[in-house]
Amino acid sequence: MTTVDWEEVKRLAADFQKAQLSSTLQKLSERNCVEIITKLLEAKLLDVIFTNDGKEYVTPHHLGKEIKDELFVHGGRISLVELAKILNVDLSQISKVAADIERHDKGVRLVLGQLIDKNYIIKIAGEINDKLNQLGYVNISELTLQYDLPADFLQSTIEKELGKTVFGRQDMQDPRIFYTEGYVARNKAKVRGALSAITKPTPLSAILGQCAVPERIFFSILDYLQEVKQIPGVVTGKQGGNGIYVPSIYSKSQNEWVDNFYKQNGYLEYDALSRLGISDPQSFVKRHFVNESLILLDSVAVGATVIDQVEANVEEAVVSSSFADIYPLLPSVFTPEDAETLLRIAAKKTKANIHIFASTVAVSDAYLQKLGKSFEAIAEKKAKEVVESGKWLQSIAENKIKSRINDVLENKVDKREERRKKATVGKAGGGSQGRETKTKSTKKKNQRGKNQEPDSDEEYAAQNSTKKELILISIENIEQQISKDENLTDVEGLVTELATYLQPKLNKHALSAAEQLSQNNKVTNLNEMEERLNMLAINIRVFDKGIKQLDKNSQIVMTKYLLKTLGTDLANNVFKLAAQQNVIQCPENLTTEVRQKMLLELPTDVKDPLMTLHKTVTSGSVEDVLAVADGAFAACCLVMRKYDKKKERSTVVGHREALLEQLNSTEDPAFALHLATSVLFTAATQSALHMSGRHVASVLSFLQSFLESGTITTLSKYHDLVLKLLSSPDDATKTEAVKELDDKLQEIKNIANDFKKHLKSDKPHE
Amino acid sequence: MVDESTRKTLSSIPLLQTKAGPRDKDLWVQRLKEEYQALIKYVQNNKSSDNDWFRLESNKEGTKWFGKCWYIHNLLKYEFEIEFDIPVTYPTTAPELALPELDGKTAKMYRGGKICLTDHFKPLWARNVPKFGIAHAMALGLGPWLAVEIPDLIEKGVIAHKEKSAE
Repeated sequence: MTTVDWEEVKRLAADFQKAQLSSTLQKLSERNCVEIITKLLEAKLLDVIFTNDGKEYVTPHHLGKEIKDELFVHGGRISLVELAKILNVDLSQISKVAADIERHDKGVRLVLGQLIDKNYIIKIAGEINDKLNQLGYVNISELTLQYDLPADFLQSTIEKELGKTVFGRQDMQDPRIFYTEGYVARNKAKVRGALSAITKPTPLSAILGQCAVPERIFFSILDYLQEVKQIPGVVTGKQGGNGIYVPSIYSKSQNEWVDNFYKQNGYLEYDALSRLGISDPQSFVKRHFVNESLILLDSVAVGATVIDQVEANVEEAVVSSSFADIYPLLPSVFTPEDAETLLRIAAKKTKANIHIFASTVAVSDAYLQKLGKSFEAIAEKKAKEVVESGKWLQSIAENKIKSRINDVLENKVDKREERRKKATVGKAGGGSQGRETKTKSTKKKNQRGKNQEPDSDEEYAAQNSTKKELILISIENIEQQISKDENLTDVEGLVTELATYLQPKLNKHALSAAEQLSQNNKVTNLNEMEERLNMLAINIRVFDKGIKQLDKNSQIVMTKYLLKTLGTDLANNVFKLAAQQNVIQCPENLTTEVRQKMLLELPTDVKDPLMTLHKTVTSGSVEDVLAVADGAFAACCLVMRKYDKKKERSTVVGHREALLEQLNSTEDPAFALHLATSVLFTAATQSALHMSGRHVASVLSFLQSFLESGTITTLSKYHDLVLKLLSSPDDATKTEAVKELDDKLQEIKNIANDFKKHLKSDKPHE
Repeated sequence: MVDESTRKTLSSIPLLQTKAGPRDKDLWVQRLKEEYQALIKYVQNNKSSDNDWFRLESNKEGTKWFGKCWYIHNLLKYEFEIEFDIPVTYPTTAPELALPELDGKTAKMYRGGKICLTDHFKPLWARNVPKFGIAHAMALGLGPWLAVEIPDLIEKGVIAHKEKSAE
């Protein structure tokens, strides 16, 4: 035991010696080391890379080795940042070395700041293949997310490995997607099944949703199937979810339906087509019936049969000069607008002269004319009524007055402008008196302001009323008349339309008729007036002659009376005529003042002769009046007839006859005496006399020399009695006088009637 | 007062367990083994910290120890002989380390070159009987002494670098 111990001690002693003799580690202080290495680096004797903390150095070669080691440790993929962290070396150094490694080592690649070696690529290719087998497809973008690698890298990797480690197929449309054959076949079968089963147009999106085939593969399958003609139908619309798959069985039955319907009915309704699922019926019809000449209306397409029918009806209407409503002939789906278009087309084709009313009714021109003619009589009747009632003239007069008012207004405005101009001129030239003119102008302005409103009102009214036209035949009138025909009233709206069509024509007709009538009236009026005025003139002449038979004293009085009565009458008639011709309003009874006023309104060419007439009538001789009247007549487009001596006699005779007639019918003693005197005068002098009751006495005294004494006494007595009656205030004497007068009335009448007997026989030739 | 580095050195030296002197026969063997292990450890420590400063060996029984120790000052190595005996009362009594070369050259030395240890070495030792051994004595005693005395002696010109002097 002890020996063992001693042995052990010996060994320990030896160990101790060995420990003491072993070379001492030559330790340099850190500072020294750093200095030495800096020196070495400076001298370029050493190529090392510092670690991040500066405490360690590594040679580039070693760093490369370390990087490769780390790469291996991390399964073939490591990011440079991570390397920098692990190796505690600056990132820039790492990336430099890494780039170096990538350049020299073909199995290592630097992707997105990551080192990846061949093994890793093989590994992910395997993984991708696994996934592909599992899911049936892989998407590069999904892989990008999963592996955090760029799509391009993955793409090229997979493409390279396709057929080696990755067993699948690349999508033709989208190279970023890969499928397995099985997956493609499965989906193809699904799609084929779905498409074969569909019997009506279906949006692709619906099909997609139904058979749960991924959209991206669906379309490539669809294309493929279309190419190999394995689907019974067509895909319409653009590629994408909004396309529609139309099975051929569907389009076939659709076409059959359309054909059948068209064959049976001769038309196609767009609504019905769209109900069948045809999105654009018009173009469909165009495409489908290329050979048939269908007419596309708003809501239907019409074939030849219907058109022929319509044409036939239209022609018939034309031939029979009646009208035809085509609406009942058309199928109920036709709208009135369609009917109208059809009619238009038919009318154009047949070149028939028809008018279309109420959209659906073809009315032949002949019928319309017939209808119009039946109304013409009514129109004429109405026109006559209007003219006779004076409304016609009134309306024309009103229109004229209004236009005149407008003219007057314009004149006013012009004047005002002139004034304004003057004012401005005054202002400009005013100089030192500028202020005065200024105030003046403002005053005027104020006045103008006051006047303006009523002016504008008038103007407004005038404009309004000028537009109004006289309506002789109203639409209602025509409607009522037309409504009597039951055939026409059957069609709704036809009557009104016809009426509105006919009304302007008829109204025009009526208006022209009225105008014609009134024209005739005017002419006759003028003639009558001329006659009458001439008559008056002749009478005046005749009566003047009669007056000249009397003595001087009574002559003046009589002349005055004559002018006052007949002269004034003449003047008044001339004025009235002038007023009518120049469309001036004039009252029934004209006085001197009224005439004066009228003169102001008359145009100058008429005004002057009338003015002289007016003056001479109030103060002048009969000759003067007659001379002046000539001019006045001319102003009113009348002709003053030459005085005819032959006519004078007949006038006098006529006058006498008229007087006798009046005498025989009167019961008034004074008037009877008056008339009797006149008759006797006429008989005695062979000339007429115009006198008033007051002149009876003087005329009687004149007649003394012509009449039998008995007759004279009778007349004087009667005259005295009349005077007595008129002047006596006593009732008793009056009644007595009346009685006496009544008794003698017959005697007076007899005297007048038998005037020849009572005349003195000193003129035996009478 | 033991400075910080010394304390650190000390703590890295394994402590001994057997309380036995050279006369204790078997136990001494045990003690000697422990002494060697401690020394080996100490030397290894020194070497690894680039602080190797002595060579030491003993006679067969391990009662007499001799060797060399050195001190580097101003990049010059000053080397001295060292020797000491294990006292009979060891480990209660600390061994008396001696540098015979320097006998009479410094005041901090007994006759025969035995170094005069600091005041607190002895009580420290006494407190740590039997845990302290030769290694501790070297570390606690001779090391600090050299560090204090040699520069002073060189300064005074008492000792000179041998190679230099040889030249």
